[in-house]
Amino acid sequence: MNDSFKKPQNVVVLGGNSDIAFAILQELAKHRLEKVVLAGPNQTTLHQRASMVSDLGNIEVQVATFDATDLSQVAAQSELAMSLVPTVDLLIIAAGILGDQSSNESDPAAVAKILTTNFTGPAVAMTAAVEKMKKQGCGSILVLSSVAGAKVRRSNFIYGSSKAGLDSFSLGFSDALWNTPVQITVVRPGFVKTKMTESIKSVPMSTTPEKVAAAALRGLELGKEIVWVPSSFRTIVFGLRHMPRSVNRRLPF
Amino acid sequence: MASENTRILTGWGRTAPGMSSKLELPINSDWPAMLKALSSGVVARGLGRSYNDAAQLSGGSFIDTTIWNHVLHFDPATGILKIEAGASLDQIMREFSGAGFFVPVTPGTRQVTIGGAIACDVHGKNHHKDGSFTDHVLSIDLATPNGVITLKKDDSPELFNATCGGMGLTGVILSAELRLLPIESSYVKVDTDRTNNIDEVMSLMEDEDHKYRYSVAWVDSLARGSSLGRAVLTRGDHASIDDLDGQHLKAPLEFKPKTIISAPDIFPSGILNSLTIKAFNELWYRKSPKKEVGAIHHAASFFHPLDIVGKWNRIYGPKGFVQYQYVVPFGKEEVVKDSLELLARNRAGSFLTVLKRFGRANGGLMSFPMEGWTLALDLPVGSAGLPALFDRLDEMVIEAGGRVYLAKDARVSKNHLRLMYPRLDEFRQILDSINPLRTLQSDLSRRLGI
Repeated sequence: MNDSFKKPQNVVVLGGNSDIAFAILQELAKHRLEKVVLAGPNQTTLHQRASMVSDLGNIEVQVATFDATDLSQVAAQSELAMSLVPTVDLLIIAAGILGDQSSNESDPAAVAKILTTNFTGPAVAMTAAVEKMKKQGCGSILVLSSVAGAKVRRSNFIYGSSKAGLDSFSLGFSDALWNTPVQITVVRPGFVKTKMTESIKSVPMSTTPEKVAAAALRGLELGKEIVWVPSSFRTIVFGLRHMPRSVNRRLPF
Repeated sequence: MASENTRILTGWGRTAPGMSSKLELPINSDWPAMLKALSSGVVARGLGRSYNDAAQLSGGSFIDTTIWNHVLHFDPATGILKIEAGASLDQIMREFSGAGFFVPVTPGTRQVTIGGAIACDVHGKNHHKDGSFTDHVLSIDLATPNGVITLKKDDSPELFNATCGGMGLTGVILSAELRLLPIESSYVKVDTDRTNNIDEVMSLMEDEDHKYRYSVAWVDSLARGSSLGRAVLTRGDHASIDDLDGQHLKAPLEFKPKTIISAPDIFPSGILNSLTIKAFNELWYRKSPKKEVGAIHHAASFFHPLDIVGKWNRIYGPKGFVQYQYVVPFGKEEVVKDSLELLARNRAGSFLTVLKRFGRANGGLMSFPMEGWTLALDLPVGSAGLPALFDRLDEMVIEAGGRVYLAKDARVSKNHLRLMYPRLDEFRQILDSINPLRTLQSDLSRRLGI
């Protein structure tokens, strides 16, 4: 169950190997966290992650299969993962890959993989999760989106558009669930220093998984639908959205 | 998304919502069959005044008890009333004050049902004299998966004590027999003392509370330094006819309070912040007389000042608020001071902070009151660090041998609960026999693993 500060006892992570999801679990372990399911495609890395999570305290961790690219299985896999806990108090949708923009632009298979992993698969899973939460009468979903999806840019449009799709889908669902006990919070971090981004040079205003986790959980507690990390991105993206396309496409970042 | 009978429920604090199906069942239902059919669980819900998740069951059902509100029997010679569990204290006061009777114990609102008052073993300003609500309950009719049982304090002490303060988990309370308090008037004779700090109010209460049936101190939670815990102490007793004059003598037993206004649902969260709460506390403190003796107040304004505004919980805005009430044994006065200090230091302004002294505990296994000091706070959800602050308060309370009130709890941990309620295992064993499948459960019981 969630307490009055939306501190969950049972959490399911889709994309269980995510550094940001781990930082969130790290923070939740200081509160009421009891049971965690880590679901992802690679069982070896998940088991390593699972032992890290159980080291956070007296936490029971299970692993499950979740392959966002396998669209025929995504719904069943997420239902199975969610069935491993008594109630899904919090579902973290953290599945995602960055890809490599310049090489992927000419690679249809790579584009398909990024869009499926980051958008279609998670959207299917979210649909299953919302059904589950309606039945259990409550629950929260944290969606790890990105600033890249809030304003899609030339330099990063494959990843950006996949996150834009997920972001819009989540907010639409949030509207559908408005005033119900099922809550969706969309987190839009800027550049986060994680294993996903380790090959890329750090950029200004970059943030850390810990900061994203703190902001995400605070947003959840306050019932926010959108959380920017850092919060100044809200203004920056507002500006970018109002720039002419001729300027936009020449942006150096 | 919701069927016709689905309701979104929260407690009075408006946090942690959950969807449950509403059931309106006749009081003489075939209870064993009915309860066994409700495999996803069920909880009884009256007027929804418990602060958080005690009277809701997400994904399950709730039984609306407010349709059971009939007086079954009343003996004016003894003041013994048998009444259905969905009747409210408000209803009893309205119906019986004319005959010269008052409820033996009332919490800060009269909009609670008899069933809820028993399940939470509620207390009032007279705990130091009269104990808690169930101390005045003679028998309870309880619907369990095994059938309807009549519980009497002497005949079935085990289940009676598990049901009093048992948060509705032993069964559905259908009706109860309680002893009302004879009164000569609906007025209260009140003495008020405004004190400069916490030491002053606590010593005043220690020295003189025994002279009054009712005693409660409102504390300014944001005053610091030498004014830490400055308070307005009000104490009194039911006024006799001799205490009244003029206007009051026209209809001394009349009890017809009105809800003047209902708060609209338009307040954003954050209106009650540390600034406005500080201003309110200052005003409340200043407007009270330094010392006043024998003032005559109507019982409704003395006991239930907030009931004048309907749905007052809305002024906290949609994010809601969290109530927190603890008790620590006498001799642990420093916990009261330290907790006020901690709140003031964290600028965690509590809108209504109330201090009182409890008398002896009763036999309720999960009943909250125990001999000592009790402090109640309410804090709006939203300020950062609140969860950790409450955890720290829990630790202080446990170290002192105290506990928190489950009717208000929104966040205690399972480990802390075990340390606060030493008879929890005994309570669980009783549930294992009377409610083995946990047909009766609530979001609270699931959250706390009861």
